[in-house]
Amino acid sequence: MSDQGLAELKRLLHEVRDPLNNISIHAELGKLKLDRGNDLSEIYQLIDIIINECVLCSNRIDELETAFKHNI
Amino acid sequence: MKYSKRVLVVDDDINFLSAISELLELLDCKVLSATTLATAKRIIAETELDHVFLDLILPDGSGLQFLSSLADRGLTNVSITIITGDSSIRNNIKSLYGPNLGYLIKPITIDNLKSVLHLEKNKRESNDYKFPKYFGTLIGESPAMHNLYQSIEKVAKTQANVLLLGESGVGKELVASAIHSESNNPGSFIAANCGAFNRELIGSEIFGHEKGAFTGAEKSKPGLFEQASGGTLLLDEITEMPIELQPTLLRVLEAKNFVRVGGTTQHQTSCRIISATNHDEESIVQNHVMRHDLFFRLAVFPIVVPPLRERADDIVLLAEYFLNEYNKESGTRISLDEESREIISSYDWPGNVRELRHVLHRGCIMSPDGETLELPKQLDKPFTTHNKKFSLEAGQSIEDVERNLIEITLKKFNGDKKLSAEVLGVSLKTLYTRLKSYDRVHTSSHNERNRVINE
Repeated sequence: MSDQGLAELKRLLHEVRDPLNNISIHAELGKLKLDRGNDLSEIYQLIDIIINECVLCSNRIDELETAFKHNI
Repeated sequence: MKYSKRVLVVDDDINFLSAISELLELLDCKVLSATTLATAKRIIAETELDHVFLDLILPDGSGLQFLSSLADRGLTNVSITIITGDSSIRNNIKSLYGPNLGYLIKPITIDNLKSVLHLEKNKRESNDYKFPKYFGTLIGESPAMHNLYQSIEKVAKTQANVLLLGESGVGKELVASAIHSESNNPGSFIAANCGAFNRELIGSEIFGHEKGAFTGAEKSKPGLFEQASGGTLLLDEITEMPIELQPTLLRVLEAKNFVRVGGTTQHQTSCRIISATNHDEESIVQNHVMRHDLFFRLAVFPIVVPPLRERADDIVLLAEYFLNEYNKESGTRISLDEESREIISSYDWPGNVRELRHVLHRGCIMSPDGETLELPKQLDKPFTTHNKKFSLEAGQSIEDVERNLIEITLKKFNGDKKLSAEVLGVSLKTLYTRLKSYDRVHTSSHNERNRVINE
């Protein structure tokens, strides 16, 4: 694999962590809000964001897979 | 409102920025946010901050430029945490800013945030909203438990020694751990069972020893007091501590210093002592298991941990928690049906929470389909006096009663000594010692009988 290919893979790997980070922090916020008895509608909003971030994460894994295939 | 920390979060991901800001606000922080380097620089010029969470890649520059700005302004006392997806950064960052610079690798959690901000833990922490845990360890919503939480909260703020009184299996070690956790003392929580120590080595275990202090002491070893320095030392089963060693412990508590076995150097003690026993105060006095002066030193703040039968409201909650834990570990979906609820709620649980946990564990193992809890139809009560094989009568010696109790408990648990010791509320070592002494009595009376026969 070329240096350029490796750098590209590293960038994509790095980018997968962004949606994971959003999933984690929104889930933590949801737990805290549930614990404090906040309205369920707020929790649903957070869950929607988590679902969107899961889709984004999946897309980035697809990109990673494609890049990996092309670089081998 | 009094904020615990003034925090700036710098990140160009709006979703993340919004969520982490709200989360930090719920943790009582005053939060400012910036999506660009320029805004972040303007904020540090105008506002006093305790902590900055920093993304390295920003639309108008690098987070490293922000670090330079802080250094230029002499603001290296502000703590910085870089939030990054690149774990290789750990080797490079310290030289960039100094000791107040750390990093968190994405994805981050609330515990990460609390840890880097050194935030006090909430009294009620929950890893699972269905089972709120108080002080990170205790579960229960009954009035008895809420009284206990209040006592923990009050005493944790002091350095007073605590004596935990409660039947076996009520969770005294968890309560001790909660006091330590709530105290925010910087040292460790060290728990030791006085009943499990070798009688000859107990002094060395507690106070440590110097090299060559006795045969086998090939190197010096710190004792429990040193290990718990700045923290909390739990002396469980304190009434099992040999009475001849108690004056030494008393002297250490009074003088606040000690000498290792075989040593001459005085070491200062700086830990809180929590002692625990399954005797009640009256029994401690009547059975002379603890010197009075030591008792008063240790029991500055006595706390009675309630038996499960006095917080019956918590039985189902605890049962559901244990089942939930079992299900997570085993991939099963076992739940409590009405009949099981009835059975566990109507039993008085002489072995307390520990017995409840064991019964449920066995019930899960016996489950025929991974969904139904298989409890015995009637829970036995090996400790209640109406058991046909065990009765209390005037004229029996305490030793005979104790022996009888040990024998029926072992029989009940098919000779499982570990489980029997747990249910009896003694250490495994204590149980073995008792059994050995019964053996000696048996052997000696057997020999005596043979001698008579031979004569």
